[in-house]
Amino acid sequence: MGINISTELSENQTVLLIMPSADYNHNIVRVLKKLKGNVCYVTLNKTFESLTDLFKKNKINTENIVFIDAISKTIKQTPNQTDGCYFVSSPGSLTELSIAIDKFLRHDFDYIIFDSLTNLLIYERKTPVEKFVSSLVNKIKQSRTKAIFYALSVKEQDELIQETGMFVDRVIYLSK
Amino acid sequence: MKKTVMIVDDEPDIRKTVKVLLEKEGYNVITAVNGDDCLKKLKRDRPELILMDIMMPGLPVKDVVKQIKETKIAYLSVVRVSEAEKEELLGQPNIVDFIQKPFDIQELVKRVKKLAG
Repeated sequence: MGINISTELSENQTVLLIMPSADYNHNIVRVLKKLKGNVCYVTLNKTFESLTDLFKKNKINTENIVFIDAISKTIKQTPNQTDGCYFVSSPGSLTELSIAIDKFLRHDFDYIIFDSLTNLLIYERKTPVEKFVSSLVNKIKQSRTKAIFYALSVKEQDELIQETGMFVDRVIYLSK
Repeated sequence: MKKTVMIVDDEPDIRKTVKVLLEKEGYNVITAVNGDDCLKKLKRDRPELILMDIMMPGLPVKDVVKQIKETKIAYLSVVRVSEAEKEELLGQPNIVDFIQKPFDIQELVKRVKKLAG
C-alpha cells in the first residue's frame, strides 16, 4: 500500500479507498494498524468473529474497536448486541444500519471504517445506496470522527464509486 | 437418470457459469435468483443438492434453510466467517458443505460429484 493513511486522514475527514480484491485483507489490516484512537468498524462482508480472528492474528488490539456487524444475523442466530459488537439484521437494512452508526457517531469515535460500499449493492439498488452514503457522509461531517470507506475496484460498480467519490474529501485507488 | 442440482444465487454470472459447467458434467440444473424463488421452485422440483449463496437479498438464508428439510445444501459464500462459525453452520441438519467464493471451478465440480453423486 503506497499511501500513508494517517497523513491522508490528517488532511481529509472522509476518504474512499478503492482496492483490488486480491489485497483486500492485507490492506484492511494495514490501515487499522496505522490508526491511533477509538474505531467504529462497520462490516458488511465478514462476520465480527472472523474479523476479530483476522485482527488478532495480525496482532491488532481490538479493545479500542467497536463493531457494527450486518452479516452475522443473516447467517446464524445472533443476539442484538454483545461486548464490543452491535448486530444489524442485514446489509440491506439501511435504516437500521443508519441508526446504529448515528448512535456511535454521537460517542465521538476517532474513526469510522465502512467495509464496504461494494457489499451494499448486493442488497439494495444504486439510488438508495447513494442516498444512504450521502446522508452518512453529511452526518460524519457534523462530527469530529474521520471516516474511511472501502470499495472493491470492480467494473460493475464504477458508477457508484464515481458518485460516492463526489461526497467524500478524497478518493484513493490502491493498485496491486 | 440425471441427478438434479439447484443453484441459488443472486449473481447471474454465477448461476450461468455453474449451470453450464454442471450440465456439461451430466447434471440437470435448475436455478433460483434468491431464497424465496428457491422455496417456490422446491414445491415442484426435488434436487439432490442445492448450492446456495449465503448472502442474498430477500428472505435471510438462515430462514430459507430452516424450511428445507430433505435436500442437502452446500453454502457458497463470499462472506468470510471464522472456523468456529463454519463448523457451527455445518452442524445444521442438512448443510453439507461450505464453499468459499471465489471458488476453483474444478474443485466445485469435484465437491458436487461427492455430494450429489
